[in-house]
Amino acid sequence: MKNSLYLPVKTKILKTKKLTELEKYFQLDLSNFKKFDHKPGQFVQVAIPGVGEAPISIASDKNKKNTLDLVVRNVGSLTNLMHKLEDGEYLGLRGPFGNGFPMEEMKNSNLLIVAGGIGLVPLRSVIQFYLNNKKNYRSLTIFYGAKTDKELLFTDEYETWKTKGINLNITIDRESPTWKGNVGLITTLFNKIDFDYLGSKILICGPPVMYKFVLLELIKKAVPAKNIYLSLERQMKCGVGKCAHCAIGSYHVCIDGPVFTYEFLKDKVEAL
Amino acid sequence: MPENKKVKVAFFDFASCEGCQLQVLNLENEFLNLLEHIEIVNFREAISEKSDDYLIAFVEGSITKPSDIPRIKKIRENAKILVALGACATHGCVNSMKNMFKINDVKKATYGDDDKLFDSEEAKPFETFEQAMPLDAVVKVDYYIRGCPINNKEFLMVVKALLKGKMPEITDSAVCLECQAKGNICLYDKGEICLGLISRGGCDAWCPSNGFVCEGCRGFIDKPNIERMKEIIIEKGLSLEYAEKRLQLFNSWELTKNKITLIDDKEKK
Amino acid sequence: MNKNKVKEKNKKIKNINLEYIMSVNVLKNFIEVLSTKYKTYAPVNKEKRVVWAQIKNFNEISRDYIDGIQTTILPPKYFFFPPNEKLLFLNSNNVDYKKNEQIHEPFILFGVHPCDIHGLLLMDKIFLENYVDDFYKEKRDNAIIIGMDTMPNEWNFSKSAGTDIIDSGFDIFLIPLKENKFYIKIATKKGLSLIKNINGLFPLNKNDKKLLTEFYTEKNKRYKRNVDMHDLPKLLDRTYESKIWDEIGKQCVACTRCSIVCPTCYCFNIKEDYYLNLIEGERVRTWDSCLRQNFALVAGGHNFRSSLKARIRHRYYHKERIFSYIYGKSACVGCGRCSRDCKANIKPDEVFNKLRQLEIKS
Repeated sequence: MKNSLYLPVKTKILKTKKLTELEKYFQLDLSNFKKFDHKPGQFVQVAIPGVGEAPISIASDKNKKNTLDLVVRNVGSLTNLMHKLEDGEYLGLRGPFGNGFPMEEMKNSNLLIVAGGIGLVPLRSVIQFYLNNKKNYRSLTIFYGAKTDKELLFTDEYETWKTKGINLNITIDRESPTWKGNVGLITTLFNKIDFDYLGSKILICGPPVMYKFVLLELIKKAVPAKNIYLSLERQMKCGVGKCAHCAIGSYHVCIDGPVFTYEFLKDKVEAL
Repeated sequence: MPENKKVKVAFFDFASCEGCQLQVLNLENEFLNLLEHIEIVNFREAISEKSDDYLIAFVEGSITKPSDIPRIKKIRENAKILVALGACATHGCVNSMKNMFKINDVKKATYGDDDKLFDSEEAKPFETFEQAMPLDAVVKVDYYIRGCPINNKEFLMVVKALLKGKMPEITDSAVCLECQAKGNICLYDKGEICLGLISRGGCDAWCPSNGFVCEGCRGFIDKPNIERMKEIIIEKGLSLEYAEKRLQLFNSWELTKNKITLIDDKEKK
Repeated sequence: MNKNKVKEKNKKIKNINLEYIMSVNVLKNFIEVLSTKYKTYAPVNKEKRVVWAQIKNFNEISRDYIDGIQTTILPPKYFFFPPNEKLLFLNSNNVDYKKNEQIHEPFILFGVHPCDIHGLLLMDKIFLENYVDDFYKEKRDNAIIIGMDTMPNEWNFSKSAGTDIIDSGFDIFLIPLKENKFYIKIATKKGLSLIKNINGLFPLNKNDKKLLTEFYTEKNKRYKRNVDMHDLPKLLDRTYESKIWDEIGKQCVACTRCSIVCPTCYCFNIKEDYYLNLIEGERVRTWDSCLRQNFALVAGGHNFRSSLKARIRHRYYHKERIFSYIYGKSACVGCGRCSRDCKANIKPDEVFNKLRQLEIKS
């Protein structure tokens, strides 16, 4: 058995771009994979030989060029070294892993994306999926919060999103001379924006602290728990349900998640 | 880090037996191989050259006297990465045993009637602090290579990681994890007091694997449950006094700083 | 292997169910013959404990083990999922990984308890289902399991866990009987091939059947620890906020020993390290434990279980619920290893009993 569950595939970096002080964009060439069939909300294990692996969210939908987008925040050993990689260099890749967002189940609904900080990264794959399959969904609204306007991601795509009918709402935590839009935590958008919360599917991703407050807003509005989808972050070593670092009670975030409905999570211990 | 340029590395020592630096030299051929990647600009135990131009400083020893302070601060200023090397530097080790006593009693116990000489003008440079301190009580420490002495394979791992710009992965598990995974017979089964339960591993359970109890030379794990440790020793009918002495050997800095004791004053009487 | 083939294989395995009686002398011979052909590992004495070791003859096997006085320090998972395993070789210049191809040959695990066989079958679910862990599988495929029933030791509560009896997961199964006899059951083709040249196997007569019944009667009598494990996942759900977890949190010292000796704990860590040329290196996996302080720490600095109470509670919840909900079975097989080796005196059967009593009271 030459192949192994733990063997990363050598993957070429086609393009990189610094998005913010902390985040860098990578476009990867998937041609070394025999098959790479990914869904919005899934993740990959990125490897740098000698350093190790880390789970990274996929930031793009399937495309004809057979490429994959990642956006990586420089927060650890591996991500720090990833930031030093340039166009034409290589990294190791395993995946795709995880369940992803159930796009089929959400058909014919209004979609609301609630993203905090780099939480927008996995949700960008949903945005791209929506744009590729627009006729199957009624609408897409985005609530996106960041600490400052300098930390906003994918800024050069906002115009396209808007012209294609996406209702994009951005807020930043603190006022800034270069920012003219909403100011305040992401939860403030729920009162500002009139929206059919009850009849929509809501997709959430952000830092652990954000979930609690966003869920409170949605509970206030009596949104059914089964319509709320959350993507969770955990420490992962294997990505394939073996190492148990990501276990929440009975479930492995890597194979049973990372996307769960709130209905599923609400009675699960230590999930949120 | 530019690949073709050797990284400048320096070694320094404060109050210590210098055994950890010796452990580095004990790497012998592996150490020589390492010299293909690093240039040592300061290493009193091995070379006579001295330079203030270095990227990584490995510092052995505890801070025990006023003149240590400017010296360690200078090292911190010069080094981009400061690594505490060995138990004296990481958490005080045996130097910190004096922290449990009044400094005058310590001087008396050590020098007898000559302790008066400490009051003379000539002895000023030898003035010592009441407490022996680990490096991070004075300066920011980036990485900790624990142990008395260090495990030189772990030293190698750290150097290799730093040279490649990777954060060294230093374990936070108890000694028991590695010890039990070797299938060792627990020393409590033999009626001994082993501190492996609450002590930091990464040593490959060196001592217990060779029949010696763990004395906690790598310090405690995060938030050690000392209360329970005490109960365990009582439940097993072992001596608290002896256990306390064991704890004090390497960990007096943490014990005195956090006022941790197995025997409170009531029990002492 | 596709599903049909698996089914076919299972069918073949089920077809074999041969039972014999042999004298202890025949067994001695059998083991000596086996150990010349295969590396044979069995429980042997080491000081006052029992450990797995390679044997050449029957007399090396621990009497304590056969008599049910005590079990091995480490469970059989050790042979399939070793504490330190080199998985991959790496080259950082070429950004290249290669699998560490290990040489495998068939080996025998002799004397595996029914509860430990249950443990292995549960480990199979983790490592062989969904995504197949090749490193585990390669070793598992090469193992010949000779199970053996014994009296329960004082920590064992496998009867409560429903793991005191086993009907699959072994090639051969033995039961030590009175009158220096052993019951032997052959369950697979592999097992059949092993006994091919053994003389001295007899069909069970009336007296043998009586001895077998006596063994089980005696075994059932010897269980000192009984715990009601029915509906355990639901019981745990209901008692999640119980004060008992505060008590147990205070009782635990996070030494991680219980995870290491557990036949179904499978947490692992993965690390990479360079060789001295700083180009090549290797990826290694090591046993880990959810009781370790930073086990659930994420890159942003959030630790999902920083308190000891949360960690030990997680260990119980994970063990009892993951399999119960996913596979319909609790992962605690009642082997009693963690009870024996926990210095802080935390015993799962006592924890379950406490939780149950608490419920009855309220």
